[in-house]
Amino acid sequence: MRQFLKFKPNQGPVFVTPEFNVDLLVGTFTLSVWDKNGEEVFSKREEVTETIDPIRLPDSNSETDMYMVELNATIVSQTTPREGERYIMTLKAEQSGHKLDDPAKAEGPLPSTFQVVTIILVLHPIQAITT
Amino acid sequence: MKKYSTFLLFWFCFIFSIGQLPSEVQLPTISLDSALNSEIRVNMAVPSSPAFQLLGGEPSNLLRVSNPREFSIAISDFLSNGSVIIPQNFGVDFSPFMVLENGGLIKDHGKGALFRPLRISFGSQSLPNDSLGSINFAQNIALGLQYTYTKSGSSFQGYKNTLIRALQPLTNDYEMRIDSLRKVYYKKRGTNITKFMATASDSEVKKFLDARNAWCDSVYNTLPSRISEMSFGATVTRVKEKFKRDTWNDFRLDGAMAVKLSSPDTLLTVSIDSVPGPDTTVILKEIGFWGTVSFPLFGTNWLQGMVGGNYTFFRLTSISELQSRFSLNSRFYVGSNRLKGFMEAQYNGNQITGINSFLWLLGTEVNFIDGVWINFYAGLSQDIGSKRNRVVTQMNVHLSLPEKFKSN
Repeated sequence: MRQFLKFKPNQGPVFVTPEFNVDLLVGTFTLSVWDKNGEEVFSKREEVTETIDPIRLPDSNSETDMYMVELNATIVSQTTPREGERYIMTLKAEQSGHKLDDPAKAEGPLPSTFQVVTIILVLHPIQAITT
Repeated sequence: MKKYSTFLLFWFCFIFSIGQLPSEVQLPTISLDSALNSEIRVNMAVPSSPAFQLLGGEPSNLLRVSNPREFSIAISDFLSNGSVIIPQNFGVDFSPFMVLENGGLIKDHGKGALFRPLRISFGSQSLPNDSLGSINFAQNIALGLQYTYTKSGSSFQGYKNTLIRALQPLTNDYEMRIDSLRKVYYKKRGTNITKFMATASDSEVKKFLDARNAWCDSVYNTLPSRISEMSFGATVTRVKEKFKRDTWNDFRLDGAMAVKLSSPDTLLTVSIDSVPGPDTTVILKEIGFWGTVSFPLFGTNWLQGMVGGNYTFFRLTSISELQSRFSLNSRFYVGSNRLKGFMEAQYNGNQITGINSFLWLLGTEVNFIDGVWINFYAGLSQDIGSKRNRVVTQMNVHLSLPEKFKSN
């Protein structure tokens, strides 16, 4: 549900990408980005599809920057779910072509009714090492 | 025969009454699958029934390619001297899988596309005792099986998937509103949401999100105008009409068989005996096999071709051996799913009489109200050898469950 990731300020933009197992479910999602002051700086709403373009976070130039990325998806099974079928929703983050740790992941029984699933990603800057 | 003029009237009233049931649907608490099962019935093409076909009485022996339905009824010969009477030919056709599925007794689990097209049909026919002269058969019953292969895009499953995709924007409506409410909730709490998420414990975050979701849902449910509810029915109707318009004449392949049993009266308690003999009460009278293919013509959605054949083994009397007859048909439709005209040519071959014949027909199929189809045609039957011609006409009615009918 919540995961902490570290990024490097001044090292290029950070991209986040939601992924879903679309062979089993349909729905929509909203991805919102909040800055360290608790202000919403970005929001995007899309349908759940097989290929979702990476979403670029605002550029960070300060080592005190911090972001909260909130992914809310309203999903439902395409058909009556079978025993053991599960939804898998991930939020990957990368910077300059490199993955930032493991993706944040939410997983559970495939819902037969619309269900809201939330993933929170807290992005902390890596503090500069001074000698 | 007893007059029963309220038979059709009753059916029409029944259809009108159930067709008016409200279809309240609420997102997001609805189960999409169960909602779809009750909402997406699609009445496309006149129902057909091999059992009804084998009972005879129809000049055309083409088994029309149809789409699977839970249940349909076919009747003919229901008019006598201008009055409506108990029909002499009566057929019932149903898809066991669809009946059980819509009754909630079985779930799709991905097998629906395979089993939905399998239908079982049953028909009965009452004939005057003297209609067959000395043979004196009074009661015929027929049992049939039918299966329709449909391309995935034109199949029920394909239609269902299309509908699910079309309903996605409705979840977007919901998401849009809930998204606004989430922001209201954060403001209401006066919390720096980023700091809170960065510093709170997992249990505090979970508690916060649960409370937020509960509050958003409770406020959403009080909103005066809910786009999702209004849009659901309209979206289903729009997709359904487009699906019928675009795919009614698509490629389909239909195979069927039926057996006809005959009895001199309605006492069917004697065991069925396929070996002919004078003591046999119920005899196996006919076994028929059909194959029909339908396809679009010239890439349009207002022309359709249909080519089919039938091979039937039959015996004339209870002591005669099985003989055979066959027919080859081609039919061309012009029109739309609900209203179309057709012309048909049929070639008949008969082993017993040795008389082969052509049948030329012009006709129409009309779905004038939901669930009621009228099939009317007329034409000329022409014996090839004797060159003798005779005029033939036929009208039958097919009734299927209306699209808005809900079984629970």
